[in-house]
Amino acid sequence: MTRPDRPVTEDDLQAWVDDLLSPERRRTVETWLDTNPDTRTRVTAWRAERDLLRATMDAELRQPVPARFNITRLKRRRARRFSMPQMAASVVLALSLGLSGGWMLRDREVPLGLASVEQEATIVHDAGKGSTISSGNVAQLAAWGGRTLGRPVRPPDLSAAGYQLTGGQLVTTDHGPACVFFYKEGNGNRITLFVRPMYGHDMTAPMRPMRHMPGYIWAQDGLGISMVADTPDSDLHRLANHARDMMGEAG
Amino acid sequence: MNDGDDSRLQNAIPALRRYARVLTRDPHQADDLVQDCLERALTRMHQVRCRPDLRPWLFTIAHNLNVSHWRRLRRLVSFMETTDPEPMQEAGQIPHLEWKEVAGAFERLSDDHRQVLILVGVEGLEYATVADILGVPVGTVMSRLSRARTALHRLVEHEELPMLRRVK
Repeated sequence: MTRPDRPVTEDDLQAWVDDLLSPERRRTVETWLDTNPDTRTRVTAWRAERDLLRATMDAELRQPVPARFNITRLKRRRARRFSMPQMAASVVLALSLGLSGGWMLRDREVPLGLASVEQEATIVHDAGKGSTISSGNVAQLAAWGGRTLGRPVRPPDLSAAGYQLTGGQLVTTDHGPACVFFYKEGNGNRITLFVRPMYGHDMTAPMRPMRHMPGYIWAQDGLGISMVADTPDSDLHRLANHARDMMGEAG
Repeated sequence: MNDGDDSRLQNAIPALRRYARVLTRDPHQADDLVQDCLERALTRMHQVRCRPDLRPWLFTIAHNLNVSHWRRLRRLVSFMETTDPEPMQEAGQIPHLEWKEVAGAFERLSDDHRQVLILVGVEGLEYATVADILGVPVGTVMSRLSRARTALHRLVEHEELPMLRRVK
């Protein structure tokens, strides 16, 4: 350590202003300042200016913090952004393993309510591309899905609009099991109908367009349902309404 | 990340915004910098678990972001204007002319000088901490501090008024 009585330096003067001197060193500096009145005037002015600047700028600390800097909200937004690929991975895995896997419920933040149904339906629609699920298993799936989901799930008949039911699958999502039904029409256009129970949020919700895919999403009687198409189709809204009506009757 | 980390981060935001304003000289740019800074901070909270004062860490992130990106950006839109800093209005009990002079003088200092004055003088951080934030040796912090205080005092005392007179 340096000796307390070493010559006073410029650094000591700064530390005097900032009150960062040890008690012994401060005594030495004070004594030195007594014999150097010009320097004392200078450092006293520095200290006064520091205090004024601090007081002035402390007013900024009292300004309200904008909502965009709410940490809880920022974290939720991050979780939403990052959950998509993870969720995709879990759904795709379920499709490739068939039904052998357990539910992959995770302890992490994911969007609630319809927003989560939307994400899952988007992933499943993409994952279902090229799958060769036969129509034979649909009845079995509907029964099984009905048991797993805790209610009968009957895929609506969309043949009047030219869409034939081609298959179905039970998949896992972050919110438990879901039923997926695949439809195809003559030109090869595909529709996916994604159905899963809602848990507390959005038990019933009006239909709205999906954000990132041509599709519609709604909730009825505690089931979250999403109809997704490959390409935008002016008929899709009507078709979704039709499906909702039929599923309402079936329930 | 637990609730304690969250609330310490939340509580540090006013100081972070203030520092960002000193860095960018513009309230809007400052808040964009704060946003970037918080998003980066949230991915690295494990680095500071249980550290009581998050300011030095946040200031370091803000400083580095500002150096790497914001400074370049700011050059493009430089000198649009230095808006009158709003907080000055409510500086209450301080003698009016004095704080206005100090605040005005502070705005006219170089970026380096303003940074060292806010970190040391206003935030009250230790010299070694400030050196870490700025990525310079402590000796540099000390000499900058000395020059910054000299420059501020000179401006407050109107020591360069003769220059202004000549403009006429």
